[in-house]
Amino acid sequence: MIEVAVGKQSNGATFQLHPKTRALLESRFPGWSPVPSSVFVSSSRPWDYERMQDPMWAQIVMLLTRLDEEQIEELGGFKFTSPSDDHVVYESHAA
Amino acid sequence: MSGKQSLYVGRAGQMAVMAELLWRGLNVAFPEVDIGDDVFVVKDETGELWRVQVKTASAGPLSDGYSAQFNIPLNQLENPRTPDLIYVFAIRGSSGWEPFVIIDRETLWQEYVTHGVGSVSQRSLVLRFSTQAGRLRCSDRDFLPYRNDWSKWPVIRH
Repeated sequence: MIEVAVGKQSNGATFQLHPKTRALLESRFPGWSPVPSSVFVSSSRPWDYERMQDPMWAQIVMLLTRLDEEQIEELGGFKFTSPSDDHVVYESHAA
Repeated sequence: MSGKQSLYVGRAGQMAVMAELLWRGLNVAFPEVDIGDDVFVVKDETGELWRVQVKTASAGPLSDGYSAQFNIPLNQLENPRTPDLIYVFAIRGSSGWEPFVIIDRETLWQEYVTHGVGSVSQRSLVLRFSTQAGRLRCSDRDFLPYRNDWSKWPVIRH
């Protein structure tokens, strides 16, 4: 499963692949590299996950991994976690 | 090392890193309120900003080199932010500053998770750098590429 770490900020949120996911993709897809290494979603107010509408989660995963929906599903879907408290913020139904 | 001595050593490391950044033509600033970042680095021409965390330690002698130990809170290491954090490890040797070790947070997190660099104690990652025979290692990983890696900040001539 693809894991994306989320860092909440007062002006948005930063999304980054978990190192284990990065290693998984590097081994599964030769030549794959983590570009972009992170995605920042800006917000004029302190970050609230309610701002994330359903397609956005998958879109961020696709941006970070450069995989399509089928490939993401083959890897067991995805989840978003907050590393500071290991809280699972969102989990896809594909898993 | 006493708590008071640690404050002096830590500040000396920060100043040494800031001096190098200034020499390279970048602007530097201390945050007025300490919230974990040690130094803000700004490229005046473009407004690009970097957040730098300086970690300082005194070198312990080895037969043909030295070692130094650092602690990094896991909460800080694992938490992505924008702009992201860059760690600069400053090691004070017997006759001056040793080459700095510069590594961004994401890369260090990767080293910890996938290569087992460091050891965890009380929710902190303990890193021990050692140099011998021209090599720089941390938990048997080659850290030489990070030694004096100022590539993020090429020298600017004003």
